[in-house]
Amino acid sequence: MKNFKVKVFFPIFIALTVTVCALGLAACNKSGTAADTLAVGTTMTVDSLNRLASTGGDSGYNYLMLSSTLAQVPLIYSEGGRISSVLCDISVSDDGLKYTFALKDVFKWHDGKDVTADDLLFTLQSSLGGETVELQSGAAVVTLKKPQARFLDSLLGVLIMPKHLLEGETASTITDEKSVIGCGPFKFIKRNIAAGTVEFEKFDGYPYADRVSFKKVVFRCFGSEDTMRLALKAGEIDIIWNYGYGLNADGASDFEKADGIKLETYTVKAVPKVLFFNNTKLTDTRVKSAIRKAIDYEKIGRIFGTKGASLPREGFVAPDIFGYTQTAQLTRDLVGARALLKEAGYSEDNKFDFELLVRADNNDTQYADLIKTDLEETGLISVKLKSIAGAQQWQAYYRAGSHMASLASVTEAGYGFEAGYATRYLLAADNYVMRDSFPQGNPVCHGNIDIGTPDDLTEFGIIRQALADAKNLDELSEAAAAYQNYIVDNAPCIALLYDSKVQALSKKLEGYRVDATFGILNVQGFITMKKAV
Amino acid sequence: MSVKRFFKTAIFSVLALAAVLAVNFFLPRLMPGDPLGHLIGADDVGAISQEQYDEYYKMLNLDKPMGEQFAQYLKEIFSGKMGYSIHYGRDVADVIGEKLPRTLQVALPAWIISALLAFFWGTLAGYKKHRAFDRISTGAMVAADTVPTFLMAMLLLIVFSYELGWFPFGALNSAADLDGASMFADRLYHLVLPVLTLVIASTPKKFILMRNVTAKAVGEKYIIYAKARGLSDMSVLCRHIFPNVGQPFISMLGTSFGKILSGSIVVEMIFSIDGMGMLVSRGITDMDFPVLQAALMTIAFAVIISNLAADAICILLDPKQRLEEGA
Repeated sequence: MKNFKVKVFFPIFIALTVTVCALGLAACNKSGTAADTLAVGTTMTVDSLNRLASTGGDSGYNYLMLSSTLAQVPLIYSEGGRISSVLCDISVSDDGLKYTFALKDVFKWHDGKDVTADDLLFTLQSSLGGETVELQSGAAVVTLKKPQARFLDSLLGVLIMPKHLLEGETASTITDEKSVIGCGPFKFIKRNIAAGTVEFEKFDGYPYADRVSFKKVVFRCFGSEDTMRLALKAGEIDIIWNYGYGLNADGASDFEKADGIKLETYTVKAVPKVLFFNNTKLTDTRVKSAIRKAIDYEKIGRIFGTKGASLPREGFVAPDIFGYTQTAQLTRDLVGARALLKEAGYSEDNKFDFELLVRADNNDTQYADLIKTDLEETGLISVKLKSIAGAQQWQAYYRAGSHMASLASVTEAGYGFEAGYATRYLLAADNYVMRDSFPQGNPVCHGNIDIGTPDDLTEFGIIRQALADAKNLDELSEAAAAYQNYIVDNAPCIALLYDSKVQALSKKLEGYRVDATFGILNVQGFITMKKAV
Repeated sequence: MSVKRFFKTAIFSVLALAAVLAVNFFLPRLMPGDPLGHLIGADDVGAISQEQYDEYYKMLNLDKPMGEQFAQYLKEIFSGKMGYSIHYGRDVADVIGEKLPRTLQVALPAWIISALLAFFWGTLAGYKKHRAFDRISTGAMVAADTVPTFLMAMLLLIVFSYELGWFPFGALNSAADLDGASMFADRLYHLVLPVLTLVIASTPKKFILMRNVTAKAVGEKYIIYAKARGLSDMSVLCRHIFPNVGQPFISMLGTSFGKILSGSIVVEMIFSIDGMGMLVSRGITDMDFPVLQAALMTIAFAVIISNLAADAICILLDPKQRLEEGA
């Protein structure tokens, strides 16, 4: 046996150890973070570079999102509540009907061709359904049928498109070479599947290229959020990209004590979690108000909120959002909740059966457990949680309208869609507003409120229409006030907390700016951001 | 297992494969929800037109009765097609052809290394049963067996990548432009931690089997006689013990391949390897029926073949089994 150990086992063991160490040293190619390279971590996987196959779960969607402020340039962006544009000067006629988009500088596409007004025209025509878009004196002019105070908001996220490359192309005909062409500060180089990277290099044809400090931007795709966070702490990457989604409370606290990492907090319009009632099925306002009174919002904020979290308002809209009107802060009132339930005819022997639809593949189950505990403490509600895994299955349930209530996150984009203020989440699956763009029905119809027809609007339909038709900020403010009062009186939904977005990045990064949609990795940020040595 | 019994097993394997084909088809379809739901706009993302939706619906044969869909699915399987993935925008066979080698780069070395480790280490421990070497080894293996694969992966990542900085955080290669020997060495370097995770996860059960079988064999009269004849420990092990404990080990090897493949799902996610595991994981959330069917079919096929191969090897190695019928 001793001979076996000496002659066989130990030599093999030593040989293996030496080999692995030698391989490691010889092949040691830590990507690291050179000063002229920005390494960005993401859990999105880039299965395809096809920008035209980019709806929903299509394979090209993730590439388009990653490159949207890097290789592509959005028409406009929102910073500090103000709409700005890197690409063009935007002017509005006095009557609010004409919007003129004129290119600021000579931008070039990555294939060397100039960005022209034709590209602006092509982009606006593709994005705007029924509005008139035409060229006038070298600028693209949009003529609205009626003034809309939120017209520019509806263009947030629209990227300028190269007409000479995309006109006539479809998802099945376009090549990757055409698809990746943009006019942003960086151009696409390659996708390395084995390394899990997507690489971009500085584009010298960008008008402000002399101000761009990075030579390269490398996205590293991670299979797990935990691995990505470790990589950030270790300095393997400089920042995490998450399309404006911030860190949750766990993630934020994880980084608070990490050396070399700083946290940036910024206000956004998103509402992290909302309890929506199916207002066609659950119609008793007393019951909905009772549920609103029974929830412990302070506990929710403590558990799920970051340091920037605050108590929500009855009127749903947060105080720092334009159009906010003073509504009561939501606090727990068990006595009031019980009184309302008893008024509605419920008792200890005849409890209200409340079914809550919960998505099981994110942290909704944690919220749901807390809500169940809170509601059952009234002694007059019996809560059943219906747990569904997967976005599609979950969506199928609430689209069918058979749910009683559901939990959902209102994203920055979702908040601004359509008439704004997250109204879209309250509309029924089938509504006249969305029939053309969503033939299969409203994809976020949690609230399931019928708005009627254009000639016979319901109460909520009138409020929604007023928001969509607001011609100026005064009208918008008035419509928003009516919307909040409607929510106070009818309780169609309950915001569970407000929170800021928290983004984690290396302390070496400086000179960045924050965009409400894209966070730190926005089109201006890539120009001004640099890394300290 | 006699030769005759092997052929019976082979027939049962074919029947098992048929059952897998059926379950593979119906299981994804039991999931609630629209399989095209991810294309028609979930949450805040865009939607496709009704015409496109109808086109995709027909492409996936969802407009046909279930029986017809199943018949079409069988026809495609037997003609070597695996269907078309709308999410990936190409044939599923291409997708699997791309992802399977990455999974095998992790799974195969892990399988071989864990087999060798368990075989020699387990045999040694069994040979020295109840001594310090056996007690420590068995204790360590039992402890390792209790650690879930994902936790083991994270622990290795934290210790060797984060704290010590010895190994990368994942992927199969560095981003640098490498070729030839450099790329090969770089690939080996990146595979160390994922393979080590699977080795640690899959060795304990094989070790314990080898240890117990060897411990039992050591007490047999032919071993006592061999030792009494003055044969060295090495001779006793190689000539008498290994051949007799090999068969249960080889049988277990066959079944363990499937477990290593399933373990690779977690490992691939932690170490950011875009292989079959990630494919199955995303296929479930995207309700990508063709991908799910093909991926599960491939894994089931690999498991059945490895089991059959293990049985065949057992017959070849053990003359008792070959001659069983004759005796």
